[in-house]
This record gives sequence, C-alpha cells and structure tokens, in this order.
Amino acid sequence: MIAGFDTGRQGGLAYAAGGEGPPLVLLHGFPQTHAMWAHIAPILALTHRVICPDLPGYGDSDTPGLEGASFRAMGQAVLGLLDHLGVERFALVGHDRGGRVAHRLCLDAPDRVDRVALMDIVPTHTLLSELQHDVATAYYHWFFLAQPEPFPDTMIAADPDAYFESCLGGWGGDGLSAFDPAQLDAYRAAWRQPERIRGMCDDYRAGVTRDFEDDCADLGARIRCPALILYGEQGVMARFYDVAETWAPKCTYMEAQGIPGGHFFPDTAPEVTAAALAAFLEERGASDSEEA
Amino acid sequence: MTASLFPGFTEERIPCGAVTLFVRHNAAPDRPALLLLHGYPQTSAMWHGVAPLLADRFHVICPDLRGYGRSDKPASAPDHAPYSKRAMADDFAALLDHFGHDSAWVGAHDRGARVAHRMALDHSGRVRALVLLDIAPTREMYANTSTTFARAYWHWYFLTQPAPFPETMIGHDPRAFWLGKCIRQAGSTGTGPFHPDAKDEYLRCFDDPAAIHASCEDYRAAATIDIAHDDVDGGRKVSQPLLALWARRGVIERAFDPLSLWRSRADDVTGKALDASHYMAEEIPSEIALHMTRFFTARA
Repeated sequence: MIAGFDTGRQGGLAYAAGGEGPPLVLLHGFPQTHAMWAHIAPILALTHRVICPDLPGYGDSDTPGLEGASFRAMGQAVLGLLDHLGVERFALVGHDRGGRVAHRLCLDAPDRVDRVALMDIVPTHTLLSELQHDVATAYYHWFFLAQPEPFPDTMIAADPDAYFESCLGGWGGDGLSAFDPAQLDAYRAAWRQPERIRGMCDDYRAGVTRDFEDDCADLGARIRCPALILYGEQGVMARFYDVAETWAPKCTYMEAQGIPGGHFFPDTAPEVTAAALAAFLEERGASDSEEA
Repeated sequence: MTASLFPGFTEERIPCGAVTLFVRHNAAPDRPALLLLHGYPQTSAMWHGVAPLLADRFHVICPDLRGYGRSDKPASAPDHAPYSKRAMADDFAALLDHFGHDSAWVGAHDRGARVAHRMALDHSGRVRALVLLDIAPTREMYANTSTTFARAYWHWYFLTQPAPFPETMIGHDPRAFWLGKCIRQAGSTGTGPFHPDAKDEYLRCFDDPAAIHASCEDYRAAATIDIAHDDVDGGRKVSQPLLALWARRGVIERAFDPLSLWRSRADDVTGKALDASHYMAEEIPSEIALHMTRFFTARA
C-alpha cells in the first residue's frame, strides 16, 4: 500500500517499513490501518527509517482480545515489534487512537521515545472526565462501540461499509470524496472482517474502562520529550476544545499547529501534514546534538 | 392477545388533532381520567400490569405515542417539531377532549414522562398531578452529561445522529437492536422483565421502518427543539404535584440527583428510588399502581 515500503509480520502485528535514517514510528487510528500513511510515509522516508504498524485488532494485525486492547497493551505490542527490528529510540507520530497509544507509550517508555506528534486528540482523561453534551454527541461512537460484545459488533457487521464510512465522512470532514480511493479500499478490506470489527470495539471498550483507569493513575505525569500537537482546523476537537490548551499541562516542551481539514486531515491534506511533521522532526537533529 | 394483557379494556384508534392515536382504555369515561404514557422503544402494552389495577377507580387511558406502536407516524421536519414533546402533549390534550375530560392524572415512563412534563407546562389546566417513572428533566440531564451517563444512555447520542444513519443501522435487524438494548438496560438476561405478549407487540411494532425513524426523531427533538422550548420557558416551573419514582438499578440513580433536578423544574416534588431496573412498571407493577393510587387520591 505504501510505495517503496516492504511489509512484514511479527508477533501478530502487520507492518510496513521503508527508508533509512533515524527511526520513526507512525500509528494510525480508528477506523483505519497503516494505509493512512500512504502519502505521508514516503516523504518522511527520505530522511527516516519509517515503520508503520497496524495496531492490534486493526488492519492485518491479529485481534488480541479485550486484555490486549488497552493503549498500554497496544503500546507494549508496538515496542515488541521495535525490539525485533532492533530499534531502541525512535520518534513517534500517532493519529486518533494511535495518538492515544503514543501518549501512553511516552509515559510508559519515556526512555525510548525521543519526540512525539499527537494528531487531533485531546487527552483521554480530559475528554471523559469533563464530558460535555456536544462532545458526547459528536463522539457518540466512544459509548456505542464500548457496549458489551457482541451488541455493537453485530450491528456493525450487518453493514460495515455504511457504519465506518459514516465515521470517515464525519467529524468535521467533507465526506468521502476527499479520500484517496485506494486508501479507502484498504480500510474497507480490513473493516469488512468481523475480527477487525471486534478489535475496534475492544479498543473502545478498553477506552472507557482500563485506559481511563490507567490515565487516572498517573494524572500528573508529563510527556518528557518534545511534543507536537496537530489538529484539524475544521475538526470537532478544535470546535469543542482549545486542543493545545488541553495538552499543555501534560507536556514538557510543546508546540501546536492547526492543519486545514477535519479529523482525517492526514488523509485529505497529506502534503501539509507531512511538511509539518518533517519540520518538527528536523529539530530532532538539533536537540540530539545538544544532548550529545 | 390484548384480552389477556388488558382484561376489560377496549382498543380504538382515535383522531387527536393532526394524528390518529391507538388507545387502550377501560371505557369508563365517567370516572376521573388517568393518562398512562409509555416510553422508548415500547407501546401502551407496557402498562399491562399497572392499568388493570387502577381500572376500578379511574378511566385509565393508555395511548401509543405518535410515532410508536399503532399510532400515526407523521412525516418529520428539519427542526423535528412533529416529534417535539409539545406536539405530543397537544395530541393528549385532544385525546382528553375526545373523551370529554377537562383534566387528567398523568402517570408516565421514560419518553412518555418527558411528554407529561411538557403537557403540565403547556396544558397546565388539563394535568392535575404527575407520577413520573425513571427520568430526570431532559434539559438538565443533557446539561449534566457525564461518562457514566453516556455509557449507560449511549442511545441518546446514537439515535440523535443525522438521518438516515441510525435508522439504517437499526433497520438491518430491528429485533436484535431492541433486544440487545432493552434486555441489557433491564440489567437482565433471557427475555428480561417483559411479558412475552408485550414483547411480541414491541418487536412487531419496531419492525416498521417508520417507527424506527419516528423514534429517532423523538430523540433528535429532545436534544434540540424540546430544549429550546424549555429555554423559552425560562425558569417556569411545573405547579402541579409531582411524584418522581426512579429505578435503584439504573442510570438516574447512578449519575444524577433526580430530586434536586426536579425541584429546579417543579414546585411540589416528592419521590424516591424503588428496587427495580429502568422498566419498573413491568417489574413491580403492583407497587407502581399503589404509588399512583395513593398519590392521586390524596390530591383528589
């Protein structure tokens, strides 16, 4: 799916990798796969060794069950893949659920993440602990998908295209026409599998239980490495929150930038997104040499 | 079937202004009227355990709300006004006209209780007192949104998504949706607290795509135009006596302070939690009927 990248599998995780240079890990979100990086990863691979896993339960990765669906467990699965690939320290980019995994990894494995970009999320704890009517309406899927198995799984399986396309077309976006048809085909191939539907529901079932508890347990913790917060300027998060403000108390060094588009701006504005990420990653060389 | 569920009751379709409603009643128009209003996703059949216990004392009138059961399901509008609680309350004022009742006692559950709240404000002379089952005021519930609430009442946020998305997803298997939602909300397994004949009626009625759409419109109205109507009312409170009964095993108990929320919207509020799930009229019908009889006769 990503031009010039190789694909592989390790420990139940499917991934694509390409390029040479300092390691960079890209984590996709819901209801997507690593194919979301198709127009971003090749640009970043000019200067980095880029690794794009499918999260556990998503894409071509195995569905681990509810225990393996927490952000902490997903993060550990990604670390296992990176161990296998011989990657110790890496830069990390995550969108949506992948952003939440990235946030958790920054807290759980601070010695391994040297730079992180979080895309179009507010902290899980912030969203859930201060839930507003408008947010619950826009993010109804947080509560629908979190219903016990197999209720939402079965409803979605009756018409997965209708369900997930409503997600991709919403949240501040302009419908499906702004997406690359080849990327959409990759998403559809994944979400038409009942095991992937269960995996995605498990992700949200863990989100309002285990993940929230994990966040409550280290509320004061800050991301130690430099962080870039990107958000869709027309997205629902920017409509309801000052996204940068929500992250400020959870970061040590932070910059924030709006990208034109809705929640799925990496799909609909890949060049702008890649440019913002490349600029942030370029600073890495400078800070690395300072540390050295 | 109805004979066994509602012994001695009559079934009629009655023109009520803009719509015709399906109504079960005990054909005793000389007795004081008691209007019983059902909730989502149900029909008047939910009163089968309560209504017969009240039939000696009242003219017990159990309509299907517009959009539900065998009542008309008028086309909606972009502002959802045809499914506003105001429109539904107007239906029931017309229903009282039809029977020649100046006013009625009102017992109501869930969506029906939201209609009863609006009816007490819009037709204050027609409503003598209210017993409301397992709700807090709509506007105040939304204003007090929490994760606890959204996890339990996820359907408040799902059903209000723009048409036809929830309609399409539900329509693939309405019965699986109905059972999955209601059995779980009852904290139950198997057939839940529902009488088999009542459940058959609920499921049969919910097979109708027009009923699915209308019930989504009911929720869309609740999230928009019903709140707008509340806001226009400002601080105006219900002046009639109001008894709030809610389920100890439900989200009203877990996520809200229903007495204090009701006291912000009504002058004369009493109430308590009862040991039941959300579908309390079907779980503990004798207790509900006793509460209604005591509350209404003490205020006659």
